[in-house]
Amino acid sequence: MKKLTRLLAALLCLCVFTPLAMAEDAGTEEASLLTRVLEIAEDGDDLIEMYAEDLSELMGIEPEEYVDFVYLAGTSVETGREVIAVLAVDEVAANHVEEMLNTYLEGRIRETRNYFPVAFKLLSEAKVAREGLLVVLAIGEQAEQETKLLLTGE
Amino acid sequence: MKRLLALVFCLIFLCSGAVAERLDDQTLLSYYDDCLFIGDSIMQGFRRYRSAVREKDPSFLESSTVVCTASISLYVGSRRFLTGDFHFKYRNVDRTMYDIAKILKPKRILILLGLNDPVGIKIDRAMEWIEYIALNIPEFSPETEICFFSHTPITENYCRTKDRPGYQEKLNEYNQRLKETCERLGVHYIEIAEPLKGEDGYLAAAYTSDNLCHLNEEGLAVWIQGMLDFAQAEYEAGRWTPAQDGTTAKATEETPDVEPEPAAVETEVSPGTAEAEPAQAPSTLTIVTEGD
Repeated sequence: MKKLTRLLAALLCLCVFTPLAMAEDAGTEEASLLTRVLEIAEDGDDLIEMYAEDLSELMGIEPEEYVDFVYLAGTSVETGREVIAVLAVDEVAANHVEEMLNTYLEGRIRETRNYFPVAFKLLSEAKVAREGLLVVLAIGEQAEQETKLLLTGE
Repeated sequence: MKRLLALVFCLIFLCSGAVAERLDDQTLLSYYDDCLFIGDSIMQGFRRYRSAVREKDPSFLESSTVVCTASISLYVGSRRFLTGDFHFKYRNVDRTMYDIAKILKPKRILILLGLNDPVGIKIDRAMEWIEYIALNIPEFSPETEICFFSHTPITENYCRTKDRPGYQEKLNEYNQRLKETCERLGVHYIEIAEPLKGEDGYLAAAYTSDNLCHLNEEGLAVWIQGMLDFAQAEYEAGRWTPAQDGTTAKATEETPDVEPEPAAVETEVSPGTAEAEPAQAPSTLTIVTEGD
Protein backbone atom coordinates (compact mmCIF):
# COMPACT_ATOMS: atom_id res chain seq x y z
CA MET A 1 0.00 0.00 0.00
CA LYS A 2 2.87 2.34 0.90
CA LYS A 3 4.46 1.69 -2.48
CA LEU A 4 1.24 2.52 -4.24
CA THR A 5 0.88 5.73 -2.27
CA ARG A 6 4.45 6.73 -3.12
CA LEU A 7 3.89 5.94 -6.77
CA LEU A 8 0.72 8.02 -6.82
CA ALA A 9 2.51 10.88 -5.06
CA ALA A 10 5.36 10.72 -7.56
CA LEU A 11 2.91 10.71 -10.47
CA LEU A 12 1.11 13.67 -8.95
CA CYS A 13 4.38 15.55 -8.59
CA LEU A 14 5.26 14.82 -12.21
CA CYS A 15 1.87 15.99 -13.41
CA VAL A 16 1.99 19.21 -11.41
CA PHE A 17 5.63 20.25 -11.69
CA THR A 18 6.62 19.15 -15.18
CA PRO A 19 4.27 21.55 -17.01
CA LEU A 20 5.32 24.32 -14.64
CA ALA A 21 8.98 23.71 -15.34
CA MET A 22 8.32 23.55 -19.07
CA ALA A 23 6.38 26.78 -18.97
CA GLU A 24 9.21 28.39 -17.08
CA ASP A 25 11.69 27.19 -19.68
CA ALA A 26 9.51 28.46 -22.50
CA GLY A 27 9.18 31.83 -20.80
CA THR A 28 12.92 32.11 -20.38
CA GLU A 29 13.51 31.26 -24.01
CA GLU A 30 10.86 33.71 -25.20
CA ALA A 31 12.47 36.67 -23.53
CA SER A 32 16.00 35.39 -23.86
CA LEU A 33 17.50 37.60 -26.57
CA LEU A 34 16.31 40.91 -25.15
CA THR A 35 17.05 39.80 -21.62
CA ARG A 36 20.47 38.52 -22.54
CA VAL A 37 21.44 41.67 -24.42
CA LEU A 38 20.25 43.84 -21.54
CA GLU A 39 22.32 41.72 -19.17
CA ILE A 40 25.39 41.87 -21.37
CA ALA A 41 25.33 45.47 -22.63
CA GLU A 42 26.50 47.88 -19.96
CA ASP A 43 24.55 50.72 -21.56
CA GLY A 44 21.50 48.51 -22.17
CA ASP A 45 19.18 50.74 -20.16
CA ASP A 46 20.11 53.75 -22.29
CA LEU A 47 19.41 52.05 -25.59
CA ILE A 48 16.17 52.44 -27.50
CA GLU A 49 14.28 49.30 -28.36
CA MET A 50 13.56 49.28 -32.06
CA TYR A 51 10.67 47.40 -33.61
CA ALA A 52 10.06 44.56 -36.02
CA GLU A 53 9.13 47.19 -38.61
CA ASP A 54 12.57 48.73 -38.23
CA LEU A 55 14.19 45.37 -38.79
CA SER A 56 12.05 44.91 -41.89
CA GLU A 57 12.29 48.44 -43.31
CA LEU A 58 15.96 48.98 -42.59
CA MET A 59 17.38 45.52 -43.04
CA GLY A 60 14.86 43.57 -45.05
CA ILE A 61 14.56 40.93 -42.32
CA GLU A 62 10.96 39.77 -42.08
CA PRO A 63 9.12 38.31 -39.05
CA GLU A 64 8.62 34.93 -40.70
CA GLU A 65 12.39 34.52 -40.81
CA TYR A 66 12.98 34.55 -37.07
CA VAL A 67 11.60 33.20 -33.81
CA ASP A 68 13.12 35.95 -31.69
CA PHE A 69 15.03 39.16 -32.23
CA VAL A 70 16.36 42.14 -30.39
CA TYR A 71 17.30 45.46 -31.95
CA LEU A 72 18.60 48.16 -29.68
CA ALA A 73 20.05 51.49 -30.78
CA GLY A 74 21.67 54.46 -29.08
CA THR A 75 19.62 57.60 -28.66
CA SER A 76 22.11 59.62 -30.65
CA VAL A 77 22.92 58.69 -34.25
CA GLU A 78 26.45 60.11 -33.92
CA THR A 79 27.61 57.23 -31.74
CA GLY A 80 26.63 54.48 -34.17
CA ARG A 81 25.70 52.30 -31.19
CA GLU A 82 23.50 49.33 -32.12
CA VAL A 83 22.97 45.75 -31.07
CA ILE A 84 21.04 43.42 -33.33
CA ALA A 85 20.54 39.73 -32.61
CA VAL A 86 18.25 37.51 -34.63
CA LEU A 87 17.41 33.87 -33.92
CA ALA A 88 16.41 32.52 -37.32
CA VAL A 89 13.78 29.86 -37.92
CA ASP A 90 16.08 27.68 -39.99
CA GLU A 91 19.35 27.52 -41.85
CA VAL A 92 18.01 29.20 -44.99
CA ALA A 93 16.60 32.10 -42.98
CA ALA A 94 19.83 32.40 -40.99
CA ASN A 95 21.81 32.69 -44.23
CA HIS A 96 19.50 35.44 -45.44
CA VAL A 97 19.61 37.29 -42.12
CA GLU A 98 23.41 37.12 -42.15
CA GLU A 99 23.51 38.47 -45.69
CA MET A 100 21.07 41.29 -44.89
CA LEU A 101 23.00 42.33 -41.79
CA ASN A 102 26.23 42.42 -43.79
CA THR A 103 24.56 44.59 -46.44
CA TYR A 104 23.18 46.85 -43.73
CA LEU A 105 26.61 47.16 -42.11
CA GLU A 106 28.25 48.05 -45.42
CA GLY A 107 25.64 50.75 -46.02
CA ARG A 108 26.10 52.19 -42.54
CA ILE A 109 29.88 52.32 -42.98
CA ARG A 110 29.46 54.16 -46.29
CA GLU A 111 26.98 56.71 -45.02
CA THR A 112 28.96 57.62 -41.90
CA ARG A 113 32.32 57.85 -43.66
CA ASN A 114 32.44 61.62 -44.10
CA TYR A 115 30.15 62.44 -41.26
CA PHE A 116 30.33 60.67 -37.96
CA PRO A 117 33.93 59.73 -37.21
CA VAL A 118 33.11 57.90 -33.99
CA ALA A 119 30.33 55.89 -35.61
CA PHE A 120 32.46 55.24 -38.69
CA LYS A 121 35.32 53.80 -36.61
CA LEU A 122 33.02 51.53 -34.61
CA LEU A 123 31.12 50.42 -37.68
CA SER A 124 34.35 49.67 -39.52
CA GLU A 125 35.45 47.43 -36.67
CA ALA A 126 32.07 45.68 -36.37
CA LYS A 127 31.43 42.22 -37.79
CA VAL A 128 28.37 40.13 -38.37
CA ALA A 129 28.85 36.91 -36.40
CA ARG A 130 26.87 33.69 -36.36
CA GLU A 131 26.54 30.55 -34.31
CA GLY A 132 23.99 28.10 -35.65
CA LEU A 133 20.75 30.01 -36.15
CA LEU A 134 21.75 32.99 -34.05
CA VAL A 135 23.10 35.98 -36.00
CA VAL A 136 24.55 38.97 -34.17
CA LEU A 137 25.71 42.43 -35.16
CA ALA A 138 26.97 44.55 -32.31
CA ILE A 139 28.38 48.03 -32.87
CA GLY A 140 30.09 49.77 -29.99
CA GLU A 141 33.17 49.90 -27.80
CA GLN A 142 32.39 46.49 -26.28
CA ALA A 143 31.01 44.93 -29.46
CA GLU A 144 33.46 42.04 -29.65
CA GLN A 145 32.84 40.98 -26.09
CA GLU A 146 29.06 41.39 -26.44
CA THR A 147 29.02 39.30 -29.61
CA LYS A 148 31.07 36.55 -27.98
CA LEU A 149 28.83 36.43 -24.92
CA LEU A 150 25.67 36.37 -27.00
CA LEU A 151 26.88 33.61 -29.30
CA THR A 152 28.22 31.41 -26.55
CA GLY A 153 25.16 31.99 -24.40
CA GLU A 154 27.32 32.77 -21.38
CA MET B 1 -32.63 96.57 -35.78
CA LYS B 2 -32.71 93.68 -38.23
CA ARG B 3 -29.43 94.87 -39.71
CA LEU B 4 -27.90 95.06 -36.27
CA LEU B 5 -29.04 91.55 -35.45
CA ALA B 6 -27.70 90.26 -38.76
CA LEU B 7 -24.38 91.99 -38.08
CA VAL B 8 -24.14 90.47 -34.59
CA PHE B 9 -25.02 87.06 -36.00
CA CYS B 10 -22.35 87.39 -38.67
CA LEU B 11 -19.77 88.46 -36.08
CA ILE B 12 -20.59 85.49 -33.87
CA PHE B 13 -20.38 83.18 -36.85
CA LEU B 14 -17.04 84.61 -37.94
CA CYS B 15 -15.61 84.45 -34.42
CA SER B 16 -16.66 80.86 -33.94
CA GLY B 17 -14.96 79.99 -37.20
CA ALA B 18 -11.82 81.96 -36.45
CA VAL B 19 -11.21 80.40 -33.06
CA ALA B 20 -11.39 76.75 -33.95
CA GLU B 21 -10.91 74.25 -31.17
CA ARG B 22 -7.43 72.90 -30.63
CA LEU B 23 -7.54 69.21 -31.43
CA ASP B 24 -5.81 66.88 -28.99
CA ASP B 25 -2.32 65.69 -29.92
CA GLN B 26 -3.42 62.13 -30.65
CA THR B 27 -5.94 63.38 -33.18
CA LEU B 28 -3.45 65.80 -34.72
CA LEU B 29 -0.88 63.01 -35.03
CA SER B 30 -3.38 61.02 -37.08
CA TYR B 31 -2.64 63.55 -39.85
CA TYR B 32 0.63 61.64 -40.23
CA ASP B 33 -0.85 58.14 -40.37
CA ASP B 34 0.22 56.17 -43.43
CA CYS B 35 2.82 58.76 -44.27
CA LEU B 36 6.34 58.35 -45.58
CA PHE B 37 9.13 60.42 -44.03
CA ILE B 38 12.23 60.86 -46.16
CA GLY B 39 15.47 62.39 -44.99
CA ASP B 40 19.13 62.29 -44.06
CA SER B 41 20.93 61.95 -40.73
CA ILE B 42 18.64 64.49 -39.12
CA MET B 43 15.74 62.20 -40.01
CA GLN B 44 17.65 59.26 -38.50
CA GLY B 45 17.34 61.06 -35.18
CA PHE B 46 13.62 61.38 -35.87
CA ARG B 47 13.34 57.62 -36.45
CA ARG B 48 15.05 56.79 -33.16
CA TYR B 49 12.98 59.36 -31.33
CA ARG B 50 9.84 57.72 -32.71
CA SER B 51 10.97 54.37 -31.33
CA ALA B 52 11.83 55.93 -27.97
CA VAL B 53 8.37 57.51 -27.68
CA ARG B 54 6.73 54.27 -28.78
CA GLU B 55 8.19 52.52 -25.74
CA LYS B 56 5.67 54.58 -23.76
CA ASP B 57 3.04 55.16 -26.42
CA PRO B 58 3.00 52.27 -28.94
CA SER B 59 0.60 54.14 -31.21
CA PHE B 60 2.99 57.06 -31.77
CA LEU B 61 3.40 57.47 -35.54
CA GLU B 62 2.84 53.72 -35.68
CA SER B 63 1.65 53.54 -39.24
CA SER B 64 4.26 55.86 -40.68
CA THR B 65 7.40 54.76 -42.47
CA VAL B 66 10.71 56.55 -42.01
CA VAL B 67 13.36 56.15 -44.68
CA CYS B 68 16.62 57.94 -44.11
CA THR B 69 20.24 57.77 -45.14
CA ALA B 70 23.02 59.75 -43.51
CA SER B 71 25.04 61.87 -45.96
CA ILE B 72 22.41 61.81 -48.71
CA SER B 73 21.85 65.16 -50.39
CA LEU B 74 18.72 66.80 -51.74
CA TYR B 75 20.17 66.48 -55.21
CA VAL B 76 20.84 62.74 -55.04
CA GLY B 77 17.64 62.13 -53.10
CA SER B 78 15.61 63.88 -55.77
CA ARG B 79 16.89 61.79 -58.68
CA ARG B 80 14.86 59.14 -60.44
CA PHE B 81 17.89 56.89 -60.71
CA LEU B 82 20.51 55.66 -58.29
CA THR B 83 23.60 57.80 -58.27
CA GLY B 84 26.55 58.48 -56.01
CA ASP B 85 27.51 56.56 -52.90
CA PHE B 86 24.39 57.11 -50.84
CA HIS B 87 20.93 55.83 -51.57
CA PHE B 88 17.69 55.47 -49.75
CA LYS B 89 17.15 51.94 -48.60
CA TYR B 90 13.85 50.24 -48.09
CA ARG B 91 13.97 46.63 -46.92
CA ASN B 92 17.71 46.84 -47.34
CA VAL B 93 17.47 47.42 -51.07
CA ASP B 94 18.78 50.63 -52.63
CA ARG B 95 15.87 52.56 -54.06
CA THR B 96 14.91 56.07 -55.10
CA MET B 97 12.25 57.92 -53.15
CA TYR B 98 9.99 57.39 -56.15
CA ASP B 99 10.44 53.60 -55.95
CA ILE B 100 9.50 53.71 -52.29
CA ALA B 101 6.51 55.99 -52.92
CA LYS B 102 5.36 53.60 -55.62
CA ILE B 103 5.55 50.65 -53.24
CA LEU B 104 3.95 52.28 -50.23
CA LYS B 105 1.51 54.70 -51.88
CA PRO B 106 1.64 56.86 -48.77
CA LYS B 107 -1.02 59.39 -47.91
CA ARG B 108 1.68 62.03 -47.62
CA ILE B 109 5.39 62.13 -48.25
CA LEU B 110 7.29 64.43 -45.90
CA ILE B 111 10.78 65.40 -46.91
CA LEU B 112 13.69 66.94 -45.03
CA LEU B 113 16.86 67.08 -47.10
CA GLY B 114 19.50 69.67 -47.94
CA LEU B 115 22.09 69.45 -45.18
CA ASN B 116 24.54 67.60 -47.39
CA ASP B 117 24.36 69.66 -50.60
CA PRO B 118 24.52 72.11 -48.81
CA VAL B 119 21.45 73.92 -50.08
CA GLY B 120 22.25 77.26 -48.44
CA ILE B 121 24.96 77.96 -51.00
CA LYS B 122 23.03 76.70 -54.03
CA ILE B 123 19.53 77.92 -53.46
CA ASP B 124 18.52 78.30 -57.10
CA ARG B 125 19.53 74.75 -57.92
CA ALA B 126 17.90 73.46 -54.76
CA MET B 127 14.60 75.02 -55.87
CA GLU B 128 14.92 73.13 -59.15
CA TRP B 129 15.36 69.86 -57.26
CA ILE B 130 12.38 70.65 -55.03
CA GLU B 131 10.30 71.29 -58.14
CA TYR B 132 11.63 68.10 -59.70
CA ILE B 133 10.41 66.07 -56.71
CA ALA B 134 7.04 67.80 -56.67
CA LEU B 135 6.54 67.12 -60.37
CA ASN B 136 7.75 63.51 -60.30
CA ILE B 137 6.12 62.02 -57.20
CA PRO B 138 2.59 62.11 -58.70
CA GLU B 139 3.72 59.86 -61.53
CA PHE B 140 4.62 57.14 -59.02
CA SER B 141 1.95 57.77 -56.42
CA PRO B 142 -0.77 60.06 -57.76
CA GLU B 143 -2.77 60.41 -54.54
CA THR B 144 0.19 61.27 -52.35
CA GLU B 145 0.35 64.79 -50.93
CA ILE B 146 3.83 66.27 -50.88
CA CYS B 147 5.24 68.15 -47.89
CA PHE B 148 8.62 69.73 -47.38
CA PHE B 149 9.94 70.53 -43.93
CA SER B 150 11.85 73.76 -43.58
CA HIS B 151 15.57 73.17 -43.18
CA THR B 152 16.40 72.91 -39.49
CA PRO B 153 18.89 75.50 -38.20
CA ILE B 154 22.58 74.95 -37.46
CA THR B 155 24.74 76.15 -34.59
CA GLU B 156 27.30 78.92 -34.75
CA ASN B 157 29.88 76.21 -34.12
CA TYR B 158 28.76 74.52 -37.36
CA CYS B 159 29.59 77.69 -39.32
CA ARG B 160 33.08 77.75 -37.79
CA THR B 161 33.76 74.01 -38.05
CA LYS B 162 32.57 73.73 -41.64
CA ASP B 163 34.05 77.10 -42.58
CA ARG B 164 30.70 78.42 -43.71
CA PRO B 165 30.39 81.89 -42.20
CA GLY B 166 26.87 83.32 -42.29
CA TYR B 167 25.40 79.97 -43.30
CA GLN B 168 22.37 80.33 -41.03
CA GLU B 169 21.35 83.52 -42.88
CA LYS B 170 21.61 81.56 -46.11
CA LEU B 171 19.44 78.83 -44.66
CA ASN B 172 16.88 81.46 -43.68
CA GLU B 173 16.84 82.62 -47.29
CA TYR B 174 16.58 79.02 -48.47
CA ASN B 175 13.57 78.41 -46.23
CA GLN B 176 11.88 81.58 -47.50
CA ARG B 177 12.43 80.45 -51.09
CA LEU B 178 11.30 76.92 -50.23
CA LYS B 179 8.07 78.30 -48.79
CA GLU B 180 7.41 80.39 -51.91
CA THR B 181 8.24 77.45 -54.19
CA CYS B 182 5.90 75.16 -52.28
CA GLU B 183 3.09 77.71 -52.53
CA ARG B 184 3.68 78.07 -56.25
CA LEU B 185 3.69 74.29 -56.77
CA GLY B 186 0.69 73.66 -54.55
CA VAL B 187 2.56 71.43 -52.12
CA HIS B 188 2.90 71.82 -48.36
CA TYR B 189 5.60 73.67 -46.49
CA ILE B 190 5.90 72.67 -42.83
CA GLU B 191 7.67 75.18 -40.65
CA ILE B 192 9.84 73.57 -37.99
CA ALA B 193 12.97 75.73 -38.13
CA GLU B 194 11.97 78.86 -36.22
CA PRO B 195 11.04 77.22 -32.88
CA LEU B 196 14.40 75.44 -32.88
CA LYS B 197 16.33 78.70 -32.91
CA GLY B 198 17.77 80.43 -29.91
CA GLU B 199 17.80 84.19 -29.39
CA ASP B 200 20.89 84.49 -31.60
CA GLY B 201 19.06 82.94 -34.56
CA TYR B 202 21.11 79.74 -34.54
CA LEU B 203 20.07 76.25 -33.47
CA ALA B 204 19.57 76.53 -29.71
CA ALA B 205 22.15 74.71 -27.60
CA ALA B 206 19.34 72.99 -25.70
CA TYR B 207 18.13 71.27 -28.88
CA THR B 208 21.32 69.87 -30.39
CA SER B 209 23.05 66.56 -29.77
CA ASP B 210 26.38 67.44 -31.43
CA ASN B 211 26.59 71.24 -31.23
CA LEU B 212 26.48 71.26 -35.02
CA CYS B 213 23.22 70.42 -36.74
CA HIS B 214 21.70 67.25 -35.27
CA LEU B 215 18.81 67.34 -32.86
CA ASN B 216 18.55 65.80 -29.43
CA GLU B 217 15.30 64.51 -27.92
CA GLU B 218 14.20 67.98 -26.84
CA GLY B 219 14.82 69.30 -30.34
CA LEU B 220 12.94 66.41 -31.89
CA ALA B 221 10.02 67.10 -29.56
CA VAL B 222 9.96 70.66 -30.92
CA TRP B 223 9.90 69.21 -34.43
CA ILE B 224 6.91 67.04 -33.53
CA GLN B 225 5.20 70.11 -32.06
CA GLY B 226 5.71 71.87 -35.39
CA MET B 227 4.03 68.94 -37.12
CA LEU B 228 1.10 69.11 -34.72
CA ASP B 229 0.75 72.86 -35.29
CA PHE B 230 0.76 72.29 -39.03
CA ALA B 231 -1.98 69.65 -38.75
CA GLN B 232 -4.00 72.04 -36.59
CA ALA B 233 -3.57 74.81 -39.17
CA GLU B 234 -4.76 72.45 -41.90
CA TYR B 235 -7.76 71.59 -39.77
CA GLU B 236 -8.56 75.23 -39.07
CA ALA B 237 -8.25 76.08 -42.75
CA GLY B 238 -10.79 73.36 -43.52
CA ARG B 239 -8.30 71.42 -45.64
CA TRP B 240 -8.24 68.41 -43.31
CA THR B 241 -10.65 66.76 -40.95
CA PRO B 242 -9.52 63.89 -38.71
CA ALA B 243 -12.41 61.66 -39.74
CA GLN B 244 -11.53 62.20 -43.36
CA ASP B 245 -8.35 60.18 -43.20
CA GLY B 246 -7.87 59.10 -39.63
CA THR B 247 -7.16 55.52 -40.54
CA THR B 248 -4.30 53.87 -38.73
CA ALA B 249 -3.65 50.89 -40.92
CA LYS B 250 -0.17 50.81 -42.34
CA ALA B 251 0.00 51.90 -45.93
CA THR B 252 -0.68 48.92 -48.12
CA GLU B 253 2.22 47.87 -50.19
CA GLU B 254 1.37 47.35 -53.77
CA THR B 255 4.48 45.50 -54.86
CA PRO B 256 6.70 45.02 -51.84
CA ASP B 257 9.46 43.27 -53.64
CA VAL B 258 9.69 45.54 -56.61
CA GLU B 259 13.28 46.13 -57.47
CA PRO B 260 14.34 49.63 -58.39
CA GLU B 261 14.86 50.52 -62.00
CA PRO B 262 18.44 49.84 -62.96
CA ALA B 263 20.78 52.66 -62.13
CA ALA B 264 21.53 54.67 -65.22
CA VAL B 265 24.92 56.02 -64.31
CA GLU B 266 27.00 55.84 -61.19
CA THR B 267 28.50 59.23 -60.50
CA GLU B 268 31.86 59.27 -58.84
CA VAL B 269 31.92 61.09 -55.55
CA SER B 270 35.21 62.48 -54.44
CA PRO B 271 36.20 61.71 -50.86
CA GLY B 272 35.49 64.48 -48.44
CA THR B 273 32.35 65.67 -50.11
CA ALA B 274 29.00 64.31 -49.12
CA GLU B 275 27.51 64.07 -52.59
CA ALA B 276 28.12 65.35 -56.05
CA GLU B 277 25.69 66.89 -58.46
CA PRO B 278 26.07 67.72 -62.13
CA ALA B 279 26.74 71.24 -63.32
CA GLN B 280 23.20 71.52 -64.59
CA ALA B 281 20.36 69.62 -63.03
CA PRO B 282 17.22 68.88 -64.99
CA SER B 283 14.02 70.32 -63.66
CA THR B 284 11.50 68.87 -66.03
CA LEU B 285 9.28 65.83 -65.94
CA THR B 286 11.43 64.05 -68.48
CA ILE B 287 12.68 60.66 -67.37
CA VAL B 288 16.32 61.12 -66.61
CA THR B 289 18.59 58.59 -68.19
CA GLU B 290 22.27 58.47 -68.90
CA GLY B 291 24.39 61.52 -68.51
CA ASP B 292 22.38 63.31 -65.85
